[in-house]
Amino acid sequence: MKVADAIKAIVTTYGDIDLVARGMVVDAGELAKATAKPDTAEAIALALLKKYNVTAPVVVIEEVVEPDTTE
Amino acid sequence: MTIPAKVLPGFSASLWMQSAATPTPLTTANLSVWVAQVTTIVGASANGTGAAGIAVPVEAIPAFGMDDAVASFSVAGSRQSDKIPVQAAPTSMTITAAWNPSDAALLQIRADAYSGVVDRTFVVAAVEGTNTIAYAFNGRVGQFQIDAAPGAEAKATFTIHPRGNQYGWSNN
Repeated sequence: MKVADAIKAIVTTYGDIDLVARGMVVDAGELAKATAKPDTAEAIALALLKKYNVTAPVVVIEEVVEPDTTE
Repeated sequence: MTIPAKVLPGFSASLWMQSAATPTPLTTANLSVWVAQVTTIVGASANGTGAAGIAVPVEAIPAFGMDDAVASFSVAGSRQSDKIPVQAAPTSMTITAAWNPSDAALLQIRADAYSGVVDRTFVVAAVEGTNTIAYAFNGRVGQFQIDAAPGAEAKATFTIHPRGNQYGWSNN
């Protein structure tokens, strides 16, 4: 989902904005670059999106081969 | 302006509401936005009036915020569970106002009460000097009553039922 679309959805809702933001998955890279003026509804929406879309480093899990201990 | 930084006296709070007969309430996010949103109701300066707002002549602002809510459970053989916080209900505000039958705000509230489905943005504004902190919420009005007991001035009593989750804090 685009960040702009997510912000628009949060700003226009009459529901629980925390709950709405929690269900939205947006691109982390796009979110990191997004800005909004303070004391605006967009800034509130952006803060909520950042709360629930934490940019985390990608962890690659390699398959672990257990050593064969049976004789 | 900054948020007031002292203990506020109760009389510093006042109640405001959107003045239109069929208003468009502020969205949830905008209830926390001062500039061009909450200021349209309470005005930009302390104890001002916004272009789309009107003061409600209340005697006192009742407690507002949320009612505590917890869930607990019991299992046979156990003593007591933890109290688990759950989403709390917003507090309904029962308000008493001196009754002036021609007061525009009270007439609008009476019309809302008879409708029962008019959503309106209300703002409790607490003022300290030139600083204002505002608690804005959307609500519906019910239970509009007149108490015309002799020996005292007539009172209008009504209850504002806030809509769930539709509230926000802001300051100038």
